[in-house]
Amino acid sequence: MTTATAHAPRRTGVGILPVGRVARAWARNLTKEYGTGATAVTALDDVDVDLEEGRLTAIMGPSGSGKSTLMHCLAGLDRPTSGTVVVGDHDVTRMRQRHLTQLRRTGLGFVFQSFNLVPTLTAEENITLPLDIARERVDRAWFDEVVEAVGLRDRLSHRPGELSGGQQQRVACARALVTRPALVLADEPTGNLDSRSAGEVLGFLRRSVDELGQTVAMVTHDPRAASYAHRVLFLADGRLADVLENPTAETVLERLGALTAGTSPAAVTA
Amino acid sequence: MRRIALRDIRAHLGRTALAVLAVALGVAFVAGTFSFRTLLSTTFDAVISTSAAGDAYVRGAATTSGTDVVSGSSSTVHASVPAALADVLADAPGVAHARPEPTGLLTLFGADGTVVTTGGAPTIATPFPADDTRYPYLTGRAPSGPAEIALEEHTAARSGLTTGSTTTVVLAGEIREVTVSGVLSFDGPLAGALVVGLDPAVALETLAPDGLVPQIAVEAAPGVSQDELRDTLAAALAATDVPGASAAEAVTGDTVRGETRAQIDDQIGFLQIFLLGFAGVSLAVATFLIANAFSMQVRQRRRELALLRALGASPGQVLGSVLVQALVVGVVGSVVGVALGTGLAAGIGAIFSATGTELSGSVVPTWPTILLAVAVGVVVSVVGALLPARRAALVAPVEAMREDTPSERGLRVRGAIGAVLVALGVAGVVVASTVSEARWQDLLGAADGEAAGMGGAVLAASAVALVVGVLVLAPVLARPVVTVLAWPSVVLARPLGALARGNVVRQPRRTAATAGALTIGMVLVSASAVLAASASTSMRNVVESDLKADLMVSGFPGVPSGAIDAVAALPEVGALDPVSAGLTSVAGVEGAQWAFDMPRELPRRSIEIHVVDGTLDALDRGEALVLESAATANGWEVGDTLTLGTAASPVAGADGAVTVRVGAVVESRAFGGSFFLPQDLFADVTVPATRDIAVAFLGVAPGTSVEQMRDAVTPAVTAYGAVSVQDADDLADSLAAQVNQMLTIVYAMLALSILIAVLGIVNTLALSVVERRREISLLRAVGLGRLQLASVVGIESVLTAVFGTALGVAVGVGGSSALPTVMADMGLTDLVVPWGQIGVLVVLAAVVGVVAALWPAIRASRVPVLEGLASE
Repeated sequence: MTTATAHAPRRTGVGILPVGRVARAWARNLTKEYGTGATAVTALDDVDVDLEEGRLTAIMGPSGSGKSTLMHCLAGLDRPTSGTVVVGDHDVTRMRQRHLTQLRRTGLGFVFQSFNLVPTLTAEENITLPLDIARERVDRAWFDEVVEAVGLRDRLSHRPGELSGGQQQRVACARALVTRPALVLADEPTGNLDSRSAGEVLGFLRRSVDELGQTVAMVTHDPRAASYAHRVLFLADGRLADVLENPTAETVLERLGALTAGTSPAAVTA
Repeated sequence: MRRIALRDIRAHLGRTALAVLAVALGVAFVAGTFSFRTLLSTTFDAVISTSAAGDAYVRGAATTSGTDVVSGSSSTVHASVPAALADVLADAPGVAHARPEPTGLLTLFGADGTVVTTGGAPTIATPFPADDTRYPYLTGRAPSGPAEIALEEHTAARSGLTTGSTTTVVLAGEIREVTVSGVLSFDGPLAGALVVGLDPAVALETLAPDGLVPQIAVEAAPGVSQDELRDTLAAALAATDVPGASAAEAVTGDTVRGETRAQIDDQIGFLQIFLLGFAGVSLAVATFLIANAFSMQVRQRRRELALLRALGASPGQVLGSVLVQALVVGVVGSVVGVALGTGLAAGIGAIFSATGTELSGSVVPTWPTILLAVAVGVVVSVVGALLPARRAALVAPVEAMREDTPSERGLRVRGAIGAVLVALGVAGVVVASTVSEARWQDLLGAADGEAAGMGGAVLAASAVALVVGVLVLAPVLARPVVTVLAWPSVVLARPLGALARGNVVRQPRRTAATAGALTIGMVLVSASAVLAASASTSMRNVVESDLKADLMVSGFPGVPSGAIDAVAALPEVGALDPVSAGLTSVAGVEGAQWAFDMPRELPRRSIEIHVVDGTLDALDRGEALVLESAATANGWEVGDTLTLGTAASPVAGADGAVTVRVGAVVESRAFGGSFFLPQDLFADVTVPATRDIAVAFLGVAPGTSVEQMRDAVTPAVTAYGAVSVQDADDLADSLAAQVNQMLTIVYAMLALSILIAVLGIVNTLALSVVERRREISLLRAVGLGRLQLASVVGIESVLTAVFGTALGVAVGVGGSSALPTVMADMGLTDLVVPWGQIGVLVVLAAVVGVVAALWPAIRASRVPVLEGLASE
């Protein structure tokens, strides 16, 4: 396994953090092409991004902008055509399948849009599943803290079928956090939820950053969801188009409007 | 719609192939059975025309035929005719030759000094007349005088003897040194029978010492038809005053060949029923698999079918499209099955040939066989697909918009029906295991013998109820039973065991349907295992408790009288009780009856004869001792008078019939037959050709050990060929070996149903892998390794297989617990459950599970981690 420094090599670009702020995970010159020759499609085109430690970063962009591809490359679920991805101390792009599997057990946490839970296991079993797979002991104190934070104490023995959509996503969040991963990746975590449930899940993700000190990256196309983040990365046509710090729903919407209008602002808003 | 159905088959070739294979295996068994029958029939047709080549035959007019109650064999007893009649017949007009055909069995020693045998086929001694020019001698000439024999071509090859060789034969119980005078060729096959020719005079003297022969073969002069010949023979018989002529009849050669043919067909038919039984089991299992395969396909295609419905397809059209697929599967599977079955029959034929029974007939299936097999395959496929097709037709158009597979319907009604059936079955088994035959008789107020088999009928019905009930109830049982079975894996392989258990109990109907195929097979296997173990132990107990003699000598065919004389002359032998057996007939009773002649000292020193009613002294008064099973079957009681046929006139009640009083009803498990007769009476009433010394019991002389006697007896009888010397242990072992041999055949047959069951598990797992792609991706995303994933699928498979086996074993063992009561009169006294063997079955099921999981597990581990989880 290749180890890399937690600090990204210095370079300038919209996605790269200024000096003094620490990246928990980063990608440099990330390019992903699907297919070859005339039919080749470039999903990511030389992207540089940093995901700041102890912060919630949102990744936005229109359909086909490459935001999910970026997330899959960050997670080691997909191999980039070229470029480097480092999560914590691990160079994901150079890891073998077996090590990636091990990384997914405890180094990364996932929350997907839907179908996050194994239907035959209870909520508690689902939460501890990555630890059970890794055959690691459950840290009860941390477990309790996480469960308390998601507010599911009285739902632990229920099966997914007996939980509401919002509750299911909160269980998924708890599962993503229970291993204290270097990075939690959430792929449209509120895409299938009503606005109240979505608010609960997003509030929890933000709290996990503010109170529990986790690092979270979230792909979304919902400006309201993005407004929960500390920082928003905008992708368009496989390139990093823009970055917004301390967003609100309005500013996000504004930037998105600008992106879809095809006029990419030159300045980086600080 | 038809195009969609056919495209779908192409799109899911893997699953379609599984269903086709299942049909093919089931059909192969049916086609194979019939092909094998064709093979046997065509072979025996040739054999019959070789061995019964006469244009007409003269034989005893009357016959007694039927199925023997005790031995189960079909016996036809013809009256014998005096050999002297041949001289009269030879003078009749249109007759070229009339030859008496005394036929018997002999033992032939080959060039290497060992007994020449083939796969159970006897060595036949028959006259080879010197003036019979129909069959050419390859070398040498016809035998002449008592010191010469001739050999049929194949027999010569097998024995290694050639013209001029000297060897030993055991004929009419005596050892003879003989020279091979020639080797003759029949122009047809003999299905492995060995044929030794004798000088006709010697044959008459040794094989028909009383001057009576089974038949006289007559050859027509040129230009005389079989019918004309028969009529002139009948006229000649009517005109002569030679004794026995009036009781003889003339028949054409074709009649004799037809009768022989019918008898053989009867026996083949029995074999065929047996084989078809297994084919039925295989097909039932195959139907299960097909139903499963289609219901899974339908479930998988739900959204597609819903889309079709939304686009305006009627339920009928959807139903039709699924049935078209079933039809294709049925036809293709059947065609493959017919080919497989023909190969199967040819393979069995080759095995027979390799063991010495030349089956030279054709295995090419006849058109009716092909049509039947295809019809069976198609019907099974369509029936299997019917329910799933109906479900497909009822898919609502809105399903297309819904996510995920719908949950299974409630199991309450099904559970209730299953529970009632199981309860009835259990009650029936309890009744069958506690109510004895005598009690049935009281309960039903039936006459003697009428309640026989009542227990068996109740048990059979209960067994069916139990099996069907358990299959119906299985989905309800799945959760608790699998939870218990999964416990070790849940504890040992966290969290894989729990994941696997969850998957198995998630869809109890599917689990039950998949396991059902194994359940059916395992019910039969475990019941057979219990039956065999119980039978072995019962026989061992009988041998140990009833056999008083130190050694017993037995042989095939019978023990030569010379061997008995040799043994009697040994100083080590203190007691010798030879028991002869022969067939006779009883007035008013269908079928020939086995009679034994009982040496006076037999019950005292050789073998226990249990008296049920009357006393053993009755034998001294010239009365019969009737065996209990025959007494029960025929309603014979002490004091009754039986009318027996005689050798010259084997039809009971005809002229010269003999009567005997029933002096006692006795029981002895060592003898399967009808009665013991006083020695002189035995000689009068049994047919000479069927009479043999079945067994001789030996006791040591004072001051001699059993081992010493054995060392003396063995060489004395070995000279007579196939004669064995056994003590109680040997006997029990050889009986147990016979039972186990039967069991091996049953296992081999059931292996096929287990094979089909494996296909079923493969099918179910493959489908559930497809259905659970997203869940599998999720598990992989949170860090489940490929091997771990494969283990989950493996554990699932093992759990399903062991679940099916556990149900099957429970029903099989439970049901067979009633066997000792039901089969008490067949000598089954002890119930023995061979837990070791049953443990092996369960382990085997686990192995089956692992094997079945291989392919689906590989498929599962190839599911990409991303599948279905991405938002774009």
